[in-house]
Amino acid sequence: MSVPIGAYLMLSLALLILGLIGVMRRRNPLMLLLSVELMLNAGNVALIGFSRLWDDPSGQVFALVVMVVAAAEVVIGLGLVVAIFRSRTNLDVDEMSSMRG
Amino acid sequence: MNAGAALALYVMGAVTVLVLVLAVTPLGARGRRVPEVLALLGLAATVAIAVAQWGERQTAFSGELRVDRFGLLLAILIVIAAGATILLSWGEPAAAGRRPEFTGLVLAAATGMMLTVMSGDLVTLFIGIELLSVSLYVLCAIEVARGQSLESGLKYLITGAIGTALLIYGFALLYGVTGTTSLEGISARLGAVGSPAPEPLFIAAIVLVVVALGFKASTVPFHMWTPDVYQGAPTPVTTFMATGTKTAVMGAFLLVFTGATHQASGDWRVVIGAVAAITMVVGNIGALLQDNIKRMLGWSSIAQAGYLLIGVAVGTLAGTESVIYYLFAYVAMTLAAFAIVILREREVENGDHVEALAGYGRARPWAGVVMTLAMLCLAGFPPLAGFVGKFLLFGSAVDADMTWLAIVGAVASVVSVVYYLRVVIVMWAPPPGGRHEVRRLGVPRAVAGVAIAAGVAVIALAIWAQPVLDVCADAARALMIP
Repeated sequence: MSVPIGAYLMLSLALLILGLIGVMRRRNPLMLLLSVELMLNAGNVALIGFSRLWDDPSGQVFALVVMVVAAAEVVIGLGLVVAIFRSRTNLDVDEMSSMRG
Repeated sequence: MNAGAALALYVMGAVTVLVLVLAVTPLGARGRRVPEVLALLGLAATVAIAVAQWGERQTAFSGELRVDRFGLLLAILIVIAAGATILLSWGEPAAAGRRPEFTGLVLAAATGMMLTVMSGDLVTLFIGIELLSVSLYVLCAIEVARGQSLESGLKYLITGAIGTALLIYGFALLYGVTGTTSLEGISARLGAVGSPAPEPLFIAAIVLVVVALGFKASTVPFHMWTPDVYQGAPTPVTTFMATGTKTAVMGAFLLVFTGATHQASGDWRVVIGAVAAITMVVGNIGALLQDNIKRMLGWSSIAQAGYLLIGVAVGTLAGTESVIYYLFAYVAMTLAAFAIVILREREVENGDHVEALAGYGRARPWAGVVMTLAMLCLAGFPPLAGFVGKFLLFGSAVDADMTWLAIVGAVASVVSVVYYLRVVIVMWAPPPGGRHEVRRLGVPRAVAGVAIAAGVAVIALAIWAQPVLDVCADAARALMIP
């Protein structure tokens, strides 16, 4: 009838480990953010699974809150990445202009 | 059950929004101090409310928020740290052109810290920690034109986000074991026998939460970001991270472990004790090798987190009381040290190097005295507040049959004397080129005020240790005896 709690836990654990591997092996900040997102969603799956196990809605509320927070974190992360790329080009341009005679 | 109990948080939230609105409002030359003044008034009002509410526990929003002596006392400390940060950033070049944003983000982070220590539920705790983290990511990177600042912001964001993900997973498992997200509910479920979930899940939850909060409090082995971020961020932001974040995350440690899962303390005492021991050793050894004073203070703050965790690992009333007292001492001495660094940074290039302080004590004796007090206090010399705090922490470990932890702490403190005293010696030794070679500029009065106030607090907390400890004991009782 309903999905057993073990299935939820296996899925969330798999997502968590995938995310952890990504965080440790990737070097691109965008890929790091994606991996962290996987880990956050692993937590969400676990929260919703336990929410069904206990028949208690607070786990689902928690998962909704996590989604909002994850969105905020990604926005800041992308903003920083863009700022870093911009400052790099700026630096190059400055160097070029300083060599004018 | 009344929503008015959370008045302090409403005030903080309202002032934060107001200041952030000022960021998009043209203020003109006459209104350029409005954000800071507004922020300081809001912080003063928050302290007044917290003092007025001092008393028995009140709850708001069905127990999501707990307003008790524990939360209020730590909230007052956080507000002091936020106020000092705003004063220390007075005229700060890093925030030039972004004053309202800078001030508003400091307030937002402080609101998150207050929410953390006043939370009565895992969800609220999580929101508080995230509000403080996300605001600090931006604050670290606020100096967009400087590569180091951006780099520190991104590093902090990535490590912080990993910490967040692990925290969520730990909280999810804790919810799975107990079936509730309320801190009081968790405590009640653990007290009752016959939980349907298996024990290994609970151990995993404990380990994950220790790891995740360790990321935020910079405990070994999740400390590697700390020196880089502390060095790269604008110094007032570093000050706020060292003082405010540490207070809030230690509050979270106390709420989750000493408060909510106290019945299961047998399961987490050794875990936290081991983290505390490694943190003290690695933090103090790391600090020995640093020439940049912000990096050194970063490593030192790792070591200090280790000392604080002793009191959490002990899990007794005496341990909790000493953690709270040591937090007060730690905030005072850290503010004093960073205030002098900020002063020096405004005067010379690379003012955050230890050599930049050469002969500074002779050139500006009051600054030398404040820095000396801060360093001696951090090293734990009697009779300063740092000594009293460490004495209490180590004592509580001995009383709780964790003598090994006290011994590790004492040995680590002896090592720390080397690098703290090095700063003192450099400051008072004659400068290489004679006294007039030490460049001095006009002192920003706000920065000098914070430095002197923090220096006085380091002594005052030791002289009036007993009354302060009584207040800390009240707070500890509010946490442990519902």
